[in-house]
Amino acid sequence: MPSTITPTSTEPKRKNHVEDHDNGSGRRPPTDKRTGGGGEGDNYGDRSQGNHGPRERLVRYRMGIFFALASDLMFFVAIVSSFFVSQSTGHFDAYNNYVNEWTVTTIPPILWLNTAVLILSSITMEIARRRMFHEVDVMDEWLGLGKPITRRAIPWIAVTAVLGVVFLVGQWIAWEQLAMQHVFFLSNPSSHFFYLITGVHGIHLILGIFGLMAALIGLYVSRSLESRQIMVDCASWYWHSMGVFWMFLFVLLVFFQ
Amino acid sequence: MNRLALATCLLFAALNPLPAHAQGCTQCRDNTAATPPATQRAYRHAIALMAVAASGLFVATLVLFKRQN
Amino acid sequence: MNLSKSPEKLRYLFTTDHRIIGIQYLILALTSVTIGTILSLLMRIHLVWPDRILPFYGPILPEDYLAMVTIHGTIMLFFVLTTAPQSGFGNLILPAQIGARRMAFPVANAIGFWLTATALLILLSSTFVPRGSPISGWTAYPPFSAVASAGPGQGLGMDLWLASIALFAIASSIGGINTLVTIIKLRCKGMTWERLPLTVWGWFTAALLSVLAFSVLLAALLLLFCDRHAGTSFFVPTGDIVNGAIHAAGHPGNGSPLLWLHLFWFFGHPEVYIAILPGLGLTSMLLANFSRRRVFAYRTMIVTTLLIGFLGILLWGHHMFVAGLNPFAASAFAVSTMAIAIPASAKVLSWLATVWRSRPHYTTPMLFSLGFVSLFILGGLSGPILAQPILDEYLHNTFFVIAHFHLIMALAAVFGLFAGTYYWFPLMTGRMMSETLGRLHFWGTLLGAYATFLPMHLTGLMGEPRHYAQLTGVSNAAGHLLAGTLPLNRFITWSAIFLSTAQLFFFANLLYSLFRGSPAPPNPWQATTLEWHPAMHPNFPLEASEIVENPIAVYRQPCQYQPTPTGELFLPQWSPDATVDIKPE
Repeated sequence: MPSTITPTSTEPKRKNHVEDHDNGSGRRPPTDKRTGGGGEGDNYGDRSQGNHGPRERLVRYRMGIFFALASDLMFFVAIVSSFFVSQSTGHFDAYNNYVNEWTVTTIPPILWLNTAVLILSSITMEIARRRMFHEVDVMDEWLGLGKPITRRAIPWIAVTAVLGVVFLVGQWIAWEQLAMQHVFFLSNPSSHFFYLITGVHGIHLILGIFGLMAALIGLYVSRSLESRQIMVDCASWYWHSMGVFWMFLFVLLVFFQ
Repeated sequence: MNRLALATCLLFAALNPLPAHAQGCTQCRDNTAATPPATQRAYRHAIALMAVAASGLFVATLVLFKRQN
Repeated sequence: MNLSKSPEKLRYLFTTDHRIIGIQYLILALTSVTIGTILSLLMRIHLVWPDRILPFYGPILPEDYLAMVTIHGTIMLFFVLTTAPQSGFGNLILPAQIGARRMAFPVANAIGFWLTATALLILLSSTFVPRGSPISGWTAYPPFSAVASAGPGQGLGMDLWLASIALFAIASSIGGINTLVTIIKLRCKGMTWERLPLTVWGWFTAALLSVLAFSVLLAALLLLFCDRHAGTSFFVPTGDIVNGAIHAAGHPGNGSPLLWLHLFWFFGHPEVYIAILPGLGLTSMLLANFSRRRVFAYRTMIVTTLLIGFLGILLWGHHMFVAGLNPFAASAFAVSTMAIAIPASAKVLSWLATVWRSRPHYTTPMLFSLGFVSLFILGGLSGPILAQPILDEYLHNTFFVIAHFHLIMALAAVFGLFAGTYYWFPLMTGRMMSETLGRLHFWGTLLGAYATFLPMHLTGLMGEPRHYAQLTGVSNAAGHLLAGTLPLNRFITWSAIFLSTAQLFFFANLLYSLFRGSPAPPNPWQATTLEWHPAMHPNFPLEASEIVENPIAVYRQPCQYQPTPTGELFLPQWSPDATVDIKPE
């Protein structure tokens, strides 16, 4: 029988003792700015999981979400490129005339409101994120003096999620308004893109709201302070990026049709 | 020295008086000739957008990596 | 170890351990490559004996042939050449090579594998739905791919293809993110930029390309899906006549197939480099290892790896020289394509300089690495030819192109995979692979590869087009030309059969060595990279306390050897001082 590789447990064992105030973040206050990883002389990377330094996991997850967002950016860039090409491409009709059927899809005014709501939600999310890293409170929480940062972050995250839902409802109303003007997905190449862009962005926001929900649940459930920070941090970077993406897409839809 | 040579080469290439000639099949030429300038411009913009976005992200990642070192 | 208990088995199946996931990927790739090879044999046989009837199936119709082309291309490119080097060995070896004990996101890693496996199943299932697999090739050009009535297999089969590739794109993006973060964040002490093994640089660049390219493919697939099911026309102009019917007469549409080509090849060309970059890095490392030399111009090799990746995202247009691309754009893409010859040639020069006048140890992995070099040179030489729009005009869609990309991408990457398998087998199983069978396998594969793909240059120059199911039965002058290629084509088919038969040595070797191979010493190749560090041994994971007491650290670049009067001195990356080599090979 050949020797087989034994799977190692890749996730740290859940700590059952809350009393010793070891939240799994390396027995150092999670406010330490050192990142762990490569070449710092502390050799965090070679230690067992959970001892890689205070913010090792946070930075790792944040970097992961950044790469995912870079990937997502390319997704939207591809769609925007198609938008430009489709916009100026025509075709030959039955009488051999070269026609370009692109007509400007009027942007429902409610989109301006939606955009404002999304910007507002990004602000509330940033407040929540900063709460999670508020140093004095982090120290309190780390020492086991209640959960001050979590308590203060939860309302902001909830507000963000609600604003996100409001934005989505607003987008839905915009769709309805367009439909009342008999502008549908199939009406025109520009309406293809209007619905496609708003729709795809909406799906991303729905995922973001799920992320916020997960962060909310995590804030209640998770014992590790660092895990809570990670969840809020990743959700908020995702949320901010979706806001920025929307600004670009909105500018595209308003000014570049 | 090496960099100087490289820069000289690049400068020479950039200032080369020979015009860049389009290469392509006659079908491509006909196709392009039949395409309105606006469409050609759109393709050009789209190509530039994709290339710049992707290469920008590529370089940004390398910078990130360098800073982690 | 008792494997009879089912939870234990499940622990192996749904593990988050990167090494096991790596092996799972390798098994998936091995299955896929077997299917893909059988399909290619069927295609070759059909091409020269079109009247043969397939047992249990019947005659091979032209659409069957095209379906085989599609599945062969899709399976080989996605499920073999992307998964095996990047995800398979990338999981199995990469963390150890940078001194990490895990990947950055183990759960995402496992999800990535299961998405890939699902994607493969969906792709294969398209064979069994009514009207069969899609026939539009792995590139899925519209209007063929966009209109369900364009041909058999373009209905449900094409939808399954879309679903499969979409899942695969998501899985590969996840894998790429995981690899990037692992390399950036989880390196051990002392593992600086210049000390990273070149294999890691290959994986890094390929992962970066995955992250940037696969999402563009996903966007293209989304648009194509809308074209197929929502009635839009992004890729097919309204009024286009497809298969005798006017397409989407009722809907407005400014679509253009050229748009799909741009989006697809923006992904497709980086995809090619994703397949080959790990092999490039591995070849550098193995040549140096077995020549007992340092890698010639190590820093330049890092730069060229990155440069190949960077240029790889700027030259997609060279696939479209006869697709109605603006000739000025074609010129620009031709320049960026030829620029890739600079880093590629630098790599070849470094390989040659590394091996030159050394006394290499001709073990099987070394042989395969040398084979990689020869294939890379030979396949690469036809690259600049095809990179010129004027020449490509004649050669486009001929077998010349097939010969080019099979040599430089497919076979070179497969040689890299073989080299990796022979090299790392001791690490996976604790046993050596048989050298005798390995040599037989190597020479058989090399001969078969050249005999199969070199003549394709000739038939391509004679004008044999791709995607033709049959060369006989055409009556005009073109038919005469096609018939003229038949003798060579018969030779190619026999060579292909020989090439695939030679792979039986590999399977025999795998099975034999798995159970009967001689036990491997801890570092059989005198390797200097960290995966051979005693503490990294996969079968004896150390306790956390031991790790903290004896941290892994890196003190030097890989592949440092010194010839001494008594033997060779090899300095592993982890050794702070010189270790005298005592173990003969």
